[in-house]
This record gives sequence, C-alpha cells and structure tokens, in this order.
Amino acid sequence: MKSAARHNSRLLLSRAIGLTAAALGLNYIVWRYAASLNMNALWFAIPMVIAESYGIVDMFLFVLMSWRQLDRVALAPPDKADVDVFITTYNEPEELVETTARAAMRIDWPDKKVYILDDGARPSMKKLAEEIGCGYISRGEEWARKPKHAKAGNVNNALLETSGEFVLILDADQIPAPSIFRKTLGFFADPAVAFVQTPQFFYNLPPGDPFGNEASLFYGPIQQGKDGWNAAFFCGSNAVLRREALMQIGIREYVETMEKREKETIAKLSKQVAKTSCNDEETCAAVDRLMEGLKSARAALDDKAPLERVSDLIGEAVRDAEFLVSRKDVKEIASVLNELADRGDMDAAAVYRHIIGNLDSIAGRTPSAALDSLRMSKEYVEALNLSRTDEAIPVQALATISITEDMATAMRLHSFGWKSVFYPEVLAYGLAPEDFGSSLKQRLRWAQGTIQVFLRDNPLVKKGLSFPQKLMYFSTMYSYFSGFFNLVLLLAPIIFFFTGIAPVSSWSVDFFARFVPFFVMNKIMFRFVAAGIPVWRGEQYNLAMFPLNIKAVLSVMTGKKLSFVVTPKHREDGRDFRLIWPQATVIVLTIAASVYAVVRFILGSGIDPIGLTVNLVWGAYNIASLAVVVKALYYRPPEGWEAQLPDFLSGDADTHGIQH
Amino acid sequence: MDLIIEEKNSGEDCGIVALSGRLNGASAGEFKHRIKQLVESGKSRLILDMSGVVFIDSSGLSALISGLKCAREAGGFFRLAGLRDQAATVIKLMMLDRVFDTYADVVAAKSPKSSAQ
Repeated sequence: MKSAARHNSRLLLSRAIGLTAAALGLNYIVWRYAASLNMNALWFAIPMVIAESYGIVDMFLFVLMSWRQLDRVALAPPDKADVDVFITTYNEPEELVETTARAAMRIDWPDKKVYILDDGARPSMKKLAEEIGCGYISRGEEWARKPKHAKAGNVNNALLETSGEFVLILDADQIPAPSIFRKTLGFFADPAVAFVQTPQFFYNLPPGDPFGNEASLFYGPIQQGKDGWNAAFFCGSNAVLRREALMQIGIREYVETMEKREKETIAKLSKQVAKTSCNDEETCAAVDRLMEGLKSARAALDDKAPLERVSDLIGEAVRDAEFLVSRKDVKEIASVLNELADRGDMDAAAVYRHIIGNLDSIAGRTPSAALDSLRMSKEYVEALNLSRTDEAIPVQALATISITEDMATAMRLHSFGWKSVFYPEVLAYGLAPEDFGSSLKQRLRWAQGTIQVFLRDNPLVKKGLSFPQKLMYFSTMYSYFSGFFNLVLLLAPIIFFFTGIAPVSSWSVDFFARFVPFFVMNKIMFRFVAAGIPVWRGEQYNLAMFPLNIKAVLSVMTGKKLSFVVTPKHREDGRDFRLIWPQATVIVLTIAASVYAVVRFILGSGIDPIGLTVNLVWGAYNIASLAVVVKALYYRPPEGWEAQLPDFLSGDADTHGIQH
Repeated sequence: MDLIIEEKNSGEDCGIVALSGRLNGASAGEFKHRIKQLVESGKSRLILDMSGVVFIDSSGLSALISGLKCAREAGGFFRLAGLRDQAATVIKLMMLDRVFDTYADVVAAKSPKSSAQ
C-alpha cells in the first residue's frame, strides 16, 4: 500500500506536469489559429486545426480528470449486512456460469444469497443452480410481448424478487474473489454512497495483449481520477450497489416518465378530439364532454394534482362520452322500432316503449365504440392509465435508455446526489474477447451505447450533476467522437506527399518551438499518470479505431436500430480482412504517397525538405499505430498458451489490507 | 413477519386492504402477490389502509407502484389511505405524491375528491 503522503506528493507533481502540458497545448493551438493557418488551402487547414483543437480539449479534460486522483484503501466492513449476488447470463456456456456461481458461494460473507439471473430461461441452468445451492431467477410471464431491455431488464426483474440491502452484480464470466464484500462494504458506512465499483481484470489476455483489451488504465488512474470528482463510473459488473439507491432512481424515473406521458397524451388527445366533427346532439355533447375532461385534466396537471386524479378525470370523461354515444345508438334503434310500430308491429311497439322508458340504463349497459367514433386512439387512453402498459415492470432501477445501461444508471444516481466509490483492487476475474472480431463487436457496443447516452441524456445539461461531474461524463463521451478527427490526422501526410500542400503556413522554427514541447509534455503527462501501466497499445488503438468510432457515431445519429450484442466469451474463428480494410487502405496509401514524394524530391521537384521530413515521421507514426489491427487480425496465441485461472480458486480467503 | 396483510370486506363495491408492519424489500414480494391475486379475483377497486404501516422503503414504494399498475390495468383504482408520517415523508421525497392521490382515512378514500379545483 502506498502511503498517503507519497500519493499526495505524487499528485502535486502530476498537477504540475498537467498544468505545464495544458499551457503548452494552449500556446500551440492559439498560435495555430492566430498565425499559422495555411490561407491558400483552407479546405485542408480548417479540418486540420479543428482536429488539433479536438485533441487539445481532450488533453484539458484529461488534466482535469487527474487533478484529484484518489488512492483509496479498504475500510472495515459492517458487522452485518444482507447482500445478494446477481450472476447475469443469457447464453454463456454452463461451465462458465458454474465457475462463477461456485466462487460466489465461497465469498467470505455470512449473510449472502447468490442468484443466477438466467435470461435464457434454460432448464439446465435451473438444475445447475439447484445443484450448487444458489437461487435461480428468470423472467416471469409479465415479460411476454414486452421489451426485455437485455441485461438491465434482467437485473431490474431480479431486484423485485430479492431483498438484500446490497447487490453485487457479476457478469457470467466474472469470478469473484472471496474477499470482495469484506473489501467493499466498508465504504457504505457513508449513507450517501450508492455503489462501489472494482476493476475488470482479464485472466485470459494472450501475451502482448494484441487486441488491446487490457483495461488497467481505465480501471486505475482514469477511474481513480473520476472518483476524485465523485464521478466514478458504474461499469455493469464487479460492483456492489445499494438497493435503496437503485430503487429510488427507479421510482423517480417512473414518476418523471408518467408525468411527461400524461402531459403529452393530453395534448395529443385534445388535438384529436378538437378535429372531430359531429352532426347530432349526442355526439356533439360527447365531444364537448371529452374536451371539458381533457381541459380539467390539463388544469389539474398544471396545478400539480396527483396523476391518479388527472388520469381519473379523463377516465370519467371517456366513460361519459361513451355513454352519450351509446345513447344515440340506442335511440336510433328505437326510432327504427317506432317506424315498425307505426306500420302495426305490436311487438316492436312494446320493445320501443321499453327502450324509451329505460333509455339511460340500456345505454349504460350497451358496449360502445365511442372511442372509435370519437377518433380517440385506445393507446392514448391506456397511456394515461399510469400502469405503464408498454413495460413489464413499472419501476426500472437500471436505466434502459441505452444499450450500455451502466453509464446511464450511474449518471442518474449522481444527479440525485448519490456518491460513488472506485476501489482499485482487483476482486473479480473475467474473460476478455479472445479474437479480434469479438473484440471489435464489444468496442462498437460500448461506443454506440456511450454516444446514445450522450444524445438522450446529455450530461452537460443534466440537472443535479456538479460541473466537474458533467465534464467527467462528457470527456468519456467526447472521446468516442475521435474517429472523424483521427481520420484527418491520418490523411494529412498523404495529402502533403501527393500535393505538397501543408495545413500549416510554413514548417518554421515557430512551429517546432510550439509543437514539440507540447507534444512531448503531453506524452510525458500521460505516462506519468499511467504510473507504469503500458500505454502504447492504448494509443495505437485510439488512432486505429477510427472506422469503428465513426461507424458508431453515424449509426446512432441516423437512428439505425442497435441491438445489444452479447460479447462472445469464446473464440470466433476467421481472419476477415473486411474488419480492417480502412486501416489497411490508409497504410498502403501512406506508403505509396511517401515513396512518390521521396522519389520526386530526389528528382529535384523542389518539395520542402523540412515538410517532407515532418510528414515522413508523421506517416511512420500513423503506420506504426495502425499496424496494431493488422497484427491483431492475424494473431494466433503461442503454442501451449492457456488462460490461468485466478489463484484463490484453490487458495485461502484474502482479508489483509483492510484499514480498521 | 415484517408485514401483516388483511383483506377486509367493505360490503361495498371496493375492497379494503389493511397493512400493518413494515413494507420493505422483505415483504414487498408477498404484498405484490396478494394484490395480484385480489385483482385477478375481480377486485380491482382497492383502498389500502396504511395506518398500520410503521416503515416503508423504496422497495415498498416500488411494490405500491406495482399494485397501482395491476389495479388500474384492470380498470380499477388503488388508493392510499391513512399514511403515517414516515410513509408520507418518503412518498414526498420520492415525488410519488405526484402520482398517488392520498386520503386521510378509509372513509375519505371511499368518496374521492370529485374534481381538481
């Protein structure tokens, strides 16, 4: 354990480095706008300087993030607490779930209940749960023909069936360490703490991490930085959550949704009814009655009357209107009977007298199609019912607005004033995708989900979040927009080689004096904050994932339907070249263009030698970054390599390192 | 036993369910189940006598919402009567007073506020 004093002095140094890097970045970018745009090629200069600005803002956000980095130590757990362990599964192999469930049963905590949340409703899984002695929960009949909301729905369903004060959520492959509750529950002594997130650690990463799945930078300095601003992210697994906090945001969401729906539906209905024409007394009276009901409902809503009452006001109006329309129908029948009676039909005359004598009671008992004839859609009336008929369960604690539910949920918790904790010790061991294709699918899902949250629940305008919290959420979302800007950075050398046009007005001493210190300091800062965690693989992927990030943004923006793809937990075979064609194209173009430029230079074309050198280095950097995906596509783990299961599966519980 | 649930026959066209004890995570499941049974047996017009409920938490409130959904879907109602301070406070805190129309006691709940003036 690092001492607090050492952490503090390290943090001060980190701030100094961060501030220096930010100042140098600012110095560079201001000069770029003010004095070095290539005015002869603005089509090139402007996209370039925008791409550079994107990077500078990214750096500012990084400096802010690292500003209050925390280094937490575990606190003593409470004497007693009821906890539930949720193991979520959909289609993962049984052995995988079994390993996790057996490890969960061995967690060192007396008052725990372990449940397998089986969204696949597999009888074999139910049997497995019985064998192991843990609980089994799958969706009930109320979910038939309703949106399932994938994992979020699975957990929301289980929350209603269980009652522990705290809930540990585990993906099917995340094997928990025995000490996971002893190390995390102590943080809940603060009643405002809603969740404690621990790292995702992968025990199956092949040597060299070819797919860039290693997450210790995120589940280390980055989360610790966000934690400093009370903005640690909930990541869907390996986290302990306070049930009360989850239920509370679920209820608030229900109230907000119902209020909004009531308002919108009244507006829609009013419009519809206003358009309805009527030719007879009763129908006109029915229309009037509906309008009146909608009006008073609207007034009650504005008055902040309970929605139950608002809904009932409309319900009454609908019933009255139905009655009036039925009454008209019955009267029409009566008049036909009357005609028959006039022609001497005595039976008809008797029925006529009966109907006229009991007009209201008959109309009240006659089913009416009033809603149709008044052109009121049934869905609208149902929408006003407060029963959330479109959903299986009314209270949804885990947010369902996004295919990545975790970020949206954490944001909602933070916005209601709950606190979060990131505890950096690895307490669960899981599987990363074992082939490139699956790894890309997972990245795409995260990117799409994050952008979805950005569009639907923008943190920058979300009430209840502090300004730093807004920025912490924003910075993660912001990073997924990098694809477009990275494309500009990748194409720039190619354009220079072929055309001789540069985005800067000249490759002057001024340029180097401003760019090099900034660039070097930025790299130093990143490595200092990373504190020994390798960063090059991440930097490579950051640039190389440009096609995927662009695809993610476009698919979300254009509203293409996104489905929650379960990340495959086993190797999918196939070296599909289509996965990397954009990167391969950029590599080939860069090489071809640089050869072309060098040959022209040798032949004496007058190309600027400094510009040529800069762009050759730049192009080489781009190729070195992009090469990572080519290697990944053709990667095969070394002969005899096997994933190593964590030691504790055979060893003893680890309870040291807890501060009393 | 956290919660005692008693169905009282009011002799009128609505059912009265008297709760006493704690409506929390431990008792929410049983409560929802009983409400569902009642509604399925045709009693969807329900008044909840909450005067015996000494404690309610978010899970309990969530169960009340489930009850409301169940009753209203069947065309009935789900009225809360006689809330104690703790329950009333939590309901307000969670903004559920925006949804539930609450009544001082069962008698008041039988003749609801006719309009929202």
